Amino acid sequence: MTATDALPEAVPDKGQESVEVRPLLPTPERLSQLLEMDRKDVEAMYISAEARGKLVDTIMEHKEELKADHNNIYRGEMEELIRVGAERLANDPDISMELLDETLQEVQKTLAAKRDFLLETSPDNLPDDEKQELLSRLEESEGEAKTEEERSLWRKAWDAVTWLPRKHPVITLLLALAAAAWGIYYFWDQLAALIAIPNPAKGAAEVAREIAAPTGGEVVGIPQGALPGPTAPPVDIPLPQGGGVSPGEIVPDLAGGTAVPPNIPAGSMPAPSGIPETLPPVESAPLPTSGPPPLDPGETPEEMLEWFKDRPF
Amino acid sequence: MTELHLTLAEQKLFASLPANLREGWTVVEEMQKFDDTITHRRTRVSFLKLHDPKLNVLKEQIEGTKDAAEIAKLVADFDLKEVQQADLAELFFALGPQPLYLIIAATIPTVKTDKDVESLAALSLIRNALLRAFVRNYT
Repeated sequence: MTATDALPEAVPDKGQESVEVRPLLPTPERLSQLLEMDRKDVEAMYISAEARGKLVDTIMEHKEELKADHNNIYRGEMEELIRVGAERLANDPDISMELLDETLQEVQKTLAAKRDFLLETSPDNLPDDEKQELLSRLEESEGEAKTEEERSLWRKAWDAVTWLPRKHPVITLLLALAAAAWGIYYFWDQLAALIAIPNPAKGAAEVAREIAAPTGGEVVGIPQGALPGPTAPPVDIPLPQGGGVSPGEIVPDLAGGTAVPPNIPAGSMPAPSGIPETLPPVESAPLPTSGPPPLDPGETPEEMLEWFKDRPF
Repeated sequence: MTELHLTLAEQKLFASLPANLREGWTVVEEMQKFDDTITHRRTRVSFLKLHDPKLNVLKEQIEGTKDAAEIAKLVADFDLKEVQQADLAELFFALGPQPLYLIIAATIPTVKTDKDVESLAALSLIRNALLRAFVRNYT
C-alpha cells in the first residue's frame, strides 16, 4: 500500500498516446511554461515568501489539469519544493537548471517516501488535504475493511513501540536523532559513529546552506534559526564506500581505535558472537546459563558508548 | 499483529528462542534491500517535524543543560509512553531502516516475554514499511 499506488494513473482518451505521470518539479522555468507566466515574474515571486504563497495558490487553482500529468500536486509538497528552490537560487543565482532540478528531485523523492510511509503507518500525520484525498483513494482501491484492518495493525504496532523499556537502544537512537535535529549533537555524533550512521546534524547544516529556506513553511523540528551552522563540532564520521550504510557494518571506534571488520552486505548480518552460525534443533538447544546481556545502554555517556561498542553489530 | 519480518540471519536468532515465545507468530522473510545515502538522510532530517509536548519538554530540558552527563541521564530516563504516534513515525522515517537492522539483531536474543516479541514485531514491521517506501521512491 503506497500513496503512489493509491493515485490513479492518467488515462488517455481513445486515440491519444499514453502520458507518463511524473512528479512536478516547480522550477521557475517549468512554472512559467505551465502557468503561462513570464519567467522573470515567476523568479520575482520565488524571492518573496508571500509571493511564493501566491504562486502555490496559482498552482493549486490548476490542480485538476496538472494532475493529468503530475502525481504530486499537493499544497504542502509544492510549498516545500518552491521554498527549497527559492533558497537554492538565493544562495547561488547562477545555479544551473540541472543542479536545481537535481536538488528538487531529491526533496521530491524524500517527500514522496514520507507520504507513502505516513499513509501506511500514521495517516493522521499527513496534511489534511493529502490525507482526505489519499485515504479515500486507498479505500476505493483496497476496500474500507482492509484499510481499517491495516490502521488497526499500525495502532497496535505503535503501541508496542511505546512499550519498549527506558534505555532501549532504539529509544536512545531516536532521542539522539531528535537532539541532533534540535542542534545538540553530542549523542548522535558518538552513537552514530559507533554504528556507522552519518551525522544528520552535520547533514542538516549542509542542507541549511544548500536548500533550507530562511523563511516560509512551518518547520517545527528544526527551527530555521536553530539549524546547526558551520560552527558545529567538527566530527568527521567515516562513510562507507559507495555512500551507503550497510547493516552490520562497524566503523572504527573513534575513542578506542578498534579495528574495522569487513563490509557486510545489506540483509546478511552475521550472527552475534556466542551464537553459532548453524543452530542445533531448538528442542536440543542447551539453555543459556547466563542469558543475554541486558538491553540497557546505561545512564552515563561512557556507559552508553560502551553498550553500543559491545553490541555484536 | 502476528507477523515478524526478519532477514534470514535474524530468523536464525529468533529460532533459538524458547518455543513458547515463538508460538503464534508467523515469520516472513524480509527480502527488501536498500542502501541509504547521506544525502537522503540529511534531507529527511531537514524535514523532521516534531509536535509532541512531551518531546518539547525534553527539548527544553536538554537545551537547559550543557553538561553531557545530564543530557545522557535525561535520555536514559525518557520513555516513549504517551508520545504521539505521529512523532514516532516522523522519527523513524528520519532514522531510516539501516539502524533497525542493528537494533533488531541485538534485541532478539534479549526477548523474554510475549510483550517483548510484540515490540520486536513492531520494529520489524516499521523497517518493512520504511524499506517499501524507500525502495519505491528513492530508486
